Amino acid sequence: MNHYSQKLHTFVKNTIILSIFISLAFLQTTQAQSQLEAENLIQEAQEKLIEVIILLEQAYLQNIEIKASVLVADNVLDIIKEADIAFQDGNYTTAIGKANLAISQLNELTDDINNLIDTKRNNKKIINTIIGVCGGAVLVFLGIITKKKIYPWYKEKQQEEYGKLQIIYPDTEVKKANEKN
Amino acid sequence: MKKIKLDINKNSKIMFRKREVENIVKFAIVFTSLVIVATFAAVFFTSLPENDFSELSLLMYDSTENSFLATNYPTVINTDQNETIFFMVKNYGSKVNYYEVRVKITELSQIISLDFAVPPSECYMLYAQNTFEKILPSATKAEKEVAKTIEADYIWGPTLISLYVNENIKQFLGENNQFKVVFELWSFDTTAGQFQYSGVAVFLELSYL
Repeated sequence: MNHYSQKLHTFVKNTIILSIFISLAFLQTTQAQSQLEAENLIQEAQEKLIEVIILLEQAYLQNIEIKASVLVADNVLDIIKEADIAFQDGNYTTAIGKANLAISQLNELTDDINNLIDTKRNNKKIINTIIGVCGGAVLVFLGIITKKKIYPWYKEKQQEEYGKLQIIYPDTEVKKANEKN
Repeated sequence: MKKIKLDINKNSKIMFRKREVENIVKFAIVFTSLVIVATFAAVFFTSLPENDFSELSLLMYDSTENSFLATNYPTVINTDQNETIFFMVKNYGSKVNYYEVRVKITELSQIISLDFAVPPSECYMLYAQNTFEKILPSATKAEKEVAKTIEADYIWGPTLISLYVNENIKQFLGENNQFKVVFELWSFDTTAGQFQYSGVAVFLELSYL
């Protein structure tokens, strides 16, 4: 009985040690996975932030009002920094949460800025079309005016100026001289 | 075959001269019109270069006046005590700027240049892990005309920063207890994909006890 009890005791002891070892290994693996995930997400957020800044620069060049978007981008920068601090402190769950929040906000911001750029582009197209149509109409009007008023006036003036010009042939001149004689 | 010979009398001579004058006038009108059109196009389609710059300043908080002043900067730091100072950045540029302020401790003899930042090998970086970063919109024309303001969208700060001297800094400085604290303004270059020194820097000369 004692022998069996001793064996059981050793078995339980070994099982507990093994369980602790497996749990530690599992925890370490999970921790390493979380660390890697947090690192990747923070990097992704930083890359997206740079994309947003490039978009903001493009929007600014097109005279789009972007102040509100810049302030949102700056808030997201703070969130990314918080994620980074949490990562440095080894608080990977918080870092992942913050990085995910930053990414979703940056995605929304990207859509908003793209919409602003598209709207501006469409407005520009409409304005250019109106200018083109008006310019065409003015040209047609000038063409009609030229044909109906200016060209006849020019012809009339030309007739007045050059109509009296005479071409005198040399033999006619000789004939006239002979006739006089 | 009849030979046609024009009789170039007085009247026709005058007429030729008239035609010459007409041609000159026509040319002058066309040339003037082109100059006018080119001038208008230049005015409307090209913008004048804007006065494009960023501003970095250091301020001290005056609790009696409840205001920030650009005077009374510290000259001495006690190793067991922090000195608080404020920095402020203004974006008078023509685009959105992603700024970073880098705080460096360097030797008193270090030259501060507009062209290059203090090299990492010649300085000790304060707050290297927890950097100071901010994205700022540019100031509008109306905002540029308002001076002495510290609160606007294009302004970062005044932001508090604690200056300290620890064992690492003492080790870096060696026997010398005098040093410079350099505040450099860096901005993110989207084409290069990294922060670049903007050429704007301010510094304090300090000693520690």
